[in-house]
Amino acid sequence: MDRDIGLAVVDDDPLYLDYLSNLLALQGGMRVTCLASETALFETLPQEPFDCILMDYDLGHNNGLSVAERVNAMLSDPPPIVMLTGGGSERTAVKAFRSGFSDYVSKRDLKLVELVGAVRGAVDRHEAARSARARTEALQQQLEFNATTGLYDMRFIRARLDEFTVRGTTHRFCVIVVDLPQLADVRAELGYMAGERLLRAFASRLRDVVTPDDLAGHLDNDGFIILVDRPAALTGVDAMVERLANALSQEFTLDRTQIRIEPQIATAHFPESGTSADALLAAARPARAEVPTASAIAMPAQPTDAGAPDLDASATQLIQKSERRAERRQRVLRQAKIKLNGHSTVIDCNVRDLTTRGARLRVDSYFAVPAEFDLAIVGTGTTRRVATRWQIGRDIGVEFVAEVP
Amino acid sequence: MSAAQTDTTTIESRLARLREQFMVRVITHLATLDDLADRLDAAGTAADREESRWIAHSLAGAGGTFGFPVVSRHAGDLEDYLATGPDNAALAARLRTTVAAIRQDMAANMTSLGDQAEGSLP
Repeated sequence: MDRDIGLAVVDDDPLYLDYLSNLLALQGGMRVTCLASETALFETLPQEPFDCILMDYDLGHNNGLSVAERVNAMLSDPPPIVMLTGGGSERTAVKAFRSGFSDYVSKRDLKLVELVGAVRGAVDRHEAARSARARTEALQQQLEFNATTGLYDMRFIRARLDEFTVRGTTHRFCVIVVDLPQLADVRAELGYMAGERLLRAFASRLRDVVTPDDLAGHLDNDGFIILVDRPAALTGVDAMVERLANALSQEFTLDRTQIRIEPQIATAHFPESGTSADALLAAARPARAEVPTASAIAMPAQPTDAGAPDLDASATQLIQKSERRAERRQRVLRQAKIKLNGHSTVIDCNVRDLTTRGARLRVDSYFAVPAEFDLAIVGTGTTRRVATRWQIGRDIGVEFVAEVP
Repeated sequence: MSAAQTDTTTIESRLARLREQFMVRVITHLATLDDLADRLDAAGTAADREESRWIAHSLAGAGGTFGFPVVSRHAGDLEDYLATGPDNAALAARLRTTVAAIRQDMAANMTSLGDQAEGSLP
């Protein structure tokens, strides 16, 4: 320790107290405060933070063990206590260590060097433990936040939700849930890291809308949650939701790819919507399966001049050359059938985007699509010859070649 | 003389005064132990034994700190002996032995202190 050690010496013998404190002061590096009783110690402790307490085992009616227990109960970060005893029995020493004393020095054959060493050692150990604790707390603090977005993680949010719901129904608060069902598509099509970058950008926009007084965190991989625990703000939740919808619906540019996420935002109010964390979350999350989702990624509709390029080159081109389209894509979710081998093989798929020039399809299971095949979109009554322009996993981009009679 | 040296000198002179006060206390305690030995020989009570224990404990604890390790050792031995529960006659005899041993050590210390004091005269 660079600075002087703040040492409280507690002994009910005034002569001994005076002598010992002067003896310690003579060693240097210590600011010694003399306290003649445990009462004086308890009165001084809240005002003066000591680095160490050197205390006699026999303090009038109380022994040092009970005094130490009270000190440890009284302070959140109690200083180390070194016990002085006239008895010097092994039994007392064992009791002292079991009671949390940092060290034990016998008065009978007291050696000042040993006493000073015990005090300094206790302070050094305490400082080391405090530093270790601070590092652990810092790590725990980091763990409360999601490493990707810096928002609170799900455990923290869940713990706050549980806390808020047990305060009683008079403490109103609101839960806003933002779901991003298309994020899974982005990960599937552009890769995991692209999904993480998008998530980070999305969280940044979310933070811009949410005030510092509200808790914004993750609900799971593709969902965010905001806890509005300010009575004054509860009437403005609808306005906040609108601001969120506006901010989060704006296009994101990832490298040169335009991505538009359509967030699903819902609210739940405590206690009207539910009185438990689970009930509130259920109320604020519509069933995803019932909500059809459109593609988040803009894709080129026009075939390239090179005719039918190979699939990998097409896919790369898609990501790198993606631009705003002249023709608005029609976001649809329709059933279709891929017909192969003279229509002897039929594979079901979904049409996820549709333009007059092509479509994006998704199949349930991956298979390598041929360069050309017939596609029948259910409900249109027509079958079209299509050319495969790209395939990424289960997603296939096709260009309409001709109508099949 | 620097401020630090002045502080050190002040502390050392205070320590010397406190040490003298402790010696006076020891002499007083020894006189009390003499009385207690007489009372124990006559008709010692539990209070007499407790007072003997308390003085022995006090001297054992403080003696070493004030620079009288022999006082501390004799008083500590007496405290330990008291814990074995001797009868009054045996305890009285032990008190007298302890008092004599401590007085001898104190006399040696006083002579030493006197020599130091004389040596320090201009």
